[in-house]
Amino acid sequence: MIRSRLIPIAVALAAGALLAGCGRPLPTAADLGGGASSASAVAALSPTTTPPTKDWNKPVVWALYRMVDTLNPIQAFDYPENTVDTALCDSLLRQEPDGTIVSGVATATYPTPTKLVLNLRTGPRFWDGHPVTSADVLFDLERAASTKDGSFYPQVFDRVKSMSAPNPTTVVVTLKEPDYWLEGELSQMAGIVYEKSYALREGKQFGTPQGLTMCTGPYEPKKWIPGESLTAVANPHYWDSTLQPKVHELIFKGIGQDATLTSGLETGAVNGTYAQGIATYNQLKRDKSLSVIDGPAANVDAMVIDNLKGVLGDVRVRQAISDAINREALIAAVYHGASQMPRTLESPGQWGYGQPVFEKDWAHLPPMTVNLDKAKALIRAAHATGKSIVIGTTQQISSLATDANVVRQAAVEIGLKVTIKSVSAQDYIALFTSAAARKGIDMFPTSNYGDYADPAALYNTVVMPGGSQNYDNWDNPAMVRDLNLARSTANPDLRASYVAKVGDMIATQLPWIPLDDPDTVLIESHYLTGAPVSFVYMGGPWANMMGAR
Amino acid sequence: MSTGVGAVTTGRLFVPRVRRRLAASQFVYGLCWLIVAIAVFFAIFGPYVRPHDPNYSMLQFQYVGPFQAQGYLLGFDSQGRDLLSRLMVGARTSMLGPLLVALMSMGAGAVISVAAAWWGGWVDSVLGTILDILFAFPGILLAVLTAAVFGAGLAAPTIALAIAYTPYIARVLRSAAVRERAREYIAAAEVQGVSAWSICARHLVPNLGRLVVAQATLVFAWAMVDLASISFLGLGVQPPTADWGVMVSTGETGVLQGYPLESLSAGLCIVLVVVAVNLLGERMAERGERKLG
Amino acid sequence: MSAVAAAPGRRGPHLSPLARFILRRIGLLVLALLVSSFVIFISLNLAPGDPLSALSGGRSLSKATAAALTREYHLDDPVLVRYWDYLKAVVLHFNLGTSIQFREPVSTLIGQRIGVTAELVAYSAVLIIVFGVGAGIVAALRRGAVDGSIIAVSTVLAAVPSFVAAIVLIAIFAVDLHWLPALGNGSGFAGSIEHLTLPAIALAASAFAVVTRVTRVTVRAELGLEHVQTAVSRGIPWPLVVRRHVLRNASIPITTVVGITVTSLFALCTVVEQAFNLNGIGAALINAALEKDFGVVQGISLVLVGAFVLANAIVDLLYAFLDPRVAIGARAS
Repeated sequence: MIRSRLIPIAVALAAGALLAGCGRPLPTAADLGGGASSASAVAALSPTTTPPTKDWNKPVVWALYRMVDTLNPIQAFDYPENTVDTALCDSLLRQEPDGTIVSGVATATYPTPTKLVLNLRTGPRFWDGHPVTSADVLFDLERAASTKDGSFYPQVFDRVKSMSAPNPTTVVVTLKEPDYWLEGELSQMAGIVYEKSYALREGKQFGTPQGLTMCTGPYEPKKWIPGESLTAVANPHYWDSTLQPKVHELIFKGIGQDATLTSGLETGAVNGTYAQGIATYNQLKRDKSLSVIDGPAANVDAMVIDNLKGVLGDVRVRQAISDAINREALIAAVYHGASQMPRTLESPGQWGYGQPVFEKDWAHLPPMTVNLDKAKALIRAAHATGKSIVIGTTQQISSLATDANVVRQAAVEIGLKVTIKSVSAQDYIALFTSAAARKGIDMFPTSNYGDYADPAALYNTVVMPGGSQNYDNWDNPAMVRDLNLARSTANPDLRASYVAKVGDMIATQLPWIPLDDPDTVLIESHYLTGAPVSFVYMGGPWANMMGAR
Repeated sequence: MSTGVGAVTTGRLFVPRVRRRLAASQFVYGLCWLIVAIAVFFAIFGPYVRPHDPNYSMLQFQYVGPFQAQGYLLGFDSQGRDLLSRLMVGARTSMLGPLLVALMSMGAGAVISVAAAWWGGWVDSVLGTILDILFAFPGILLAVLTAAVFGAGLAAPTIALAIAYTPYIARVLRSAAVRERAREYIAAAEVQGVSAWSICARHLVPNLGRLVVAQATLVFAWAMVDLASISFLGLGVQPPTADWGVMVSTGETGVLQGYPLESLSAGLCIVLVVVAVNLLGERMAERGERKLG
Repeated sequence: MSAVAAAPGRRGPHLSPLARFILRRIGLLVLALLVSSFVIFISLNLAPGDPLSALSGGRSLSKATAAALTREYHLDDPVLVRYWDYLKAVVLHFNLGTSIQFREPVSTLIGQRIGVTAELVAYSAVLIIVFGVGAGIVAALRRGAVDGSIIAVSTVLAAVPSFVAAIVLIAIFAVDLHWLPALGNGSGFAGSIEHLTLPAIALAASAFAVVTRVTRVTVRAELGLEHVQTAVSRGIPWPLVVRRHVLRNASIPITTVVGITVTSLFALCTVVEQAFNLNGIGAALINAALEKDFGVVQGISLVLVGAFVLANAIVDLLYAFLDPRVAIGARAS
C-alpha cells in the first residue's frame, strides 16, 4: 500500500527531471546570424559532386514529398512530377547542373532571329527501339502548346507562329518575334520527347499507372503502384555514352512527413532525396551513414499576393510587411542555415547566363533585413493600422506552416490583424490553379521556381499579364516592356541587364514578398555519389549521374 | 476507453473494498479532485491568466528549454511560442468538447433509458435494439467519418461522439431505472394518480442522478481521449489554436530532434485529467450502485 | 447484450434459449451491418454541397470525369435505389468505390495496405493477451504491493491515449535509446516485427489495462468461491487448483473482455498507424479524410465498421456458447 503510493510520486519526480533537461539552450547572437549573403557565398556552393567510380546494383529508393500524379510531362508542374520526368525522359535541349542549356535530343540553331531549327540527333531511340522522328517531336510540341490536352505550357509558345517537320530529322519553329526564352522551356517539361504512336495508342491512359510513358531517357518505368511506389530500371541502350546510368534500379516513393523521411534515411530504407526544409537537417548531417550536401538553388520562397484589391493592394503595406519579417529567424528555424537572404524575387542559383551582370546588380540591391521602425511608419502612412488580412497555408507541410506563422507575426507586430486559413495539402495545391480556392485569401506562402536557370522565367509567370501565377492582374508597363525586350534579345549579357532591371523594380514594388532562397539539399546514403546538387533535378537529367563511390 | 469497454467493469464486477485501503484512497481521490479543479480553472480562466500570448511566436527561440529565458517557465514550442501559456489556454478546447459530449449523451441516454424503463414492452425492445445498433459504431470512426463529411473542426466530431456514447449511458441507466421503477413507492404514486411525467421527473431521475453523473464522468474521460486523438490526426481542432491534442501532434518533429517537451507536456496534461476523472467517476459509480442496491 | 427479457411461455417455435439468443444476435448483426452501411452511404449526401463536389473533394472535374462519376455512383437515381445498388456493388462485386486521388479502385488500395493493419492488430492482440491477462492473474493471486502497483500502473495506462503512448515510446526507445525504428513499415518478416513493435505496444497499452483489471477482479471473485476452498482443504496442490478451478471458470468473462478489447483495436489502429506513419488502412482512411477523397473514406469506413460489428457479434456468440447461464435462459445482459 505504501509502495503503491510511492510509485506515482517517483514517476512525478522522474518526469520532472526529464522535463527540466529538455530543450535547447537560449540561442546566442552568433547562432542567430544568417546575415546578408553575398553572391560569392552562393557561388561557393558547387552544383556537382564527386563523380562515381562504380555501378550500383542494389535498388536505390528515392523519396519525393508526395507520390507522382502523372507521367505526362505537359501536366507536370510540381516537384515530384518534375523530378521523376527528368530522371526518366530526355528533352529536346538539356540543362546542365550549373544551369547552362546545351543540346539534348536535338540541337538548336537560329538561321534567322525568328526561326528556330531543331536538328534531331541520330542516336536517340525510344525504349521500344524505334528512332525519334520529327513527327514525334512535332506532336509533342503541339500538344504542349495546345489548350485542349490539359497542358500547363501553352503560354510558353505564345510567340510561336507555326511549327513544321520538313524532314524526318528536322523541326522548324517559326516565331512571330524573336523568343530567346523558348530554348529554356524546351529544355524542360515542354520539351520532353515521347513517342507519338504510343501516346495516341494509350490515349487517356498515357501517363497513368496503366499507360506509363515511352521516352528515350536513361531510366524506364517498369511498375507503378499508385500512392506507393514507382520502379524504374536503367536503360541499357541509352544513347548518350557520357551519361550512362550507373544505378541499376530506382524506386520512387512519396513520403510527406519529415518524421518518416528522417527515419527512412537513418535506417537505410530511403537512400536519397532532394529535401526541402527538412526539420531534422542538423540531425541528419551528424549521421555517419548519410551525406548531406548543399548546393545552389533556383527556387525562391515567397508570399504570393493573390488579392491586390484589399489591404495588400497598397505598395506601402506590402513593403511594411516585408520590412517586418524576421528572415534570419525563419532561415535558422526552417532551413537550419541552408538558405540565403533574398534581395528580390531571385536566387543567385538562377544565373545560367549573364553572371557578371546579375552579380553586379545583386551587389547593389540591399538585403531584406528586418526594420520594424520603417515598417510601422509605412503602415501609419498607408492608414492601414488595424486592418485585416487573411493568410492561407497548410499545416501539413511544416515549412509552409512556419512561413505563414512568421509573416503573421510580422504583420501583427506592425499593427495589422491577421487570420490564418489552413487547408489540407491537396487543397493547398488548388490555390495555385483555382480562383475559387483563393477566394477570401490575401496571401499564401510558396516555394516557387522558374522552369530553367533565368530569373525571368519566374518573373514572367508572376508579373506578365496572363502569367500563370499572376493571380490579380498585376500590370506594370515598365516591367512588361523590359521583360519583352529581354525575351527578344540574343546577346546574353544585354538580356541579363533587362532582367536585372525588372528584378530591381520587383524589389521595391513587391508583387510577391520574397522570404528566402533555399539551397538545394541533397541527402543520400553514404555509398552513393555523383548526383548533382542544383536545381537541375527539376529540369534536366540527374539520376544517371549517380553511382557508387 | 473509447469503445466502452470501461462500461463492462462499471456496475457489474466490483468486489467490496477492503477497509484499510480507505486512508490511501482518500489521499488519491483528494489529488484527483485537485487535478480536476485546476484543469477546470484553466479551462475557464486560462486565456486571462496566461503569462504570455499563446500565439506570439519568436522563431529564434524554437525549442529553447525550461528555465532558460526569464518568465518562460516551460520554454518554447516548435514555433517559438510560450509553452506554458499554450498549455493553460489549451485547457479550454481540450475540456469543452468532452464536456459537451458528456452532457449531450447524458441527456439523450437518460431520456431513452427512462422511457424504456417506464413503458417497457415493445418500446423497451425497440429502444434496446436501437441502442444495440449504436453500440456497433465505434466512436472514433464515426468522428472521422463526420470530419470527412463536414470538414475538420470540433463541432462535428463532438456530436458524433455524443451519439456514439449515448448507448453506454443508456444501458447502465436502463437496468437501474428498471429496478427503480419496480419499487413500491413508484407504484404507490401511480395509484395515487400522480402523472407519469411527474413521477419520472421528481423520483426516477433524481435517484438515478448519482449513477448518471458517474457514467457521464467516464464518458467525459473517453471523449477527452477520442477528441484529443481526432485533433492529433488533424481532423479536429486545427493548429495554430492551442489544444493539448494538437500540441502533441505539432511537437512530434521536436521529439525526433530530441526536444520532446511540447508533446510530452501536453500529453501529460491529457493523461492527468483523464486519470483523475476516471477514478472519480468509478468511485461515484460504485457508490451509486451500492445506493440503489 | 440484449435488453429484452427472455420471458418464459412465449408463443413461437420451440427453440432452446441458446438457439433463440444466437438467432437474435445474428439478426442484430445483419441489422447493424445494414444500418452502418446505410449511414456510411448516406453521409455522401449529408456533405455540404452536392455529392459530386464531395466526391471530388473540391477538385475541378472535367465534364467527362463528372459524367463518369455520376454514372458510377448513380447520382441521378433516388436514394433507396442507389443504396440498393451500392449494397449489391459491395457485397457481390467487392466494389468499394474509387479513389479520386490515386485513380484506383478502393479495394485495390485496401488490398495493398490491409496486411500491415492485420499484422499490427494481431501483434497487439498477442501482447494484450499475454501481458494483460498475465498481469491480471498475478495481481489477483498475489496481494499487497504487487497487486497495488499493477493496479496503479494499469489505471494510468488506461488513461494514456494511444497517440501519447506513441510519442512517449518514440521519444524513449527510438530517439533516445535507438533500440527500435521510429516509423515506417519495414520489409520482410523480421523487419515488420521490428517496425511494428512500438506501434503494437502503443495500441495495446490502454486496452491492456482494462483486460488486466477485469481479469484481476474475475479471478479474485473465483478465488473466494466455495468450491475453491473445498479443493484446497482436500489437499489438491495450489497450482492445480488455480488452473482447474479458478482459471477455467474465470476464462469466460476474461475471454469476453479480451474479445471486446481486440475488437476496439480496429478503431484505434487508425490513430496508431498515423502516429507511426504505417502504411495500413487506418492511415489511408485518415489521409483520405484530410484529402477529401470521399470514395476511400466510405470504402475503408465500411471495412473497419464491418469488421468491428462482426467481431463484436462473434464475441457475443462465443460468450453464449461458453456461459452455461445463457443456455438455461438467464438474462445475458
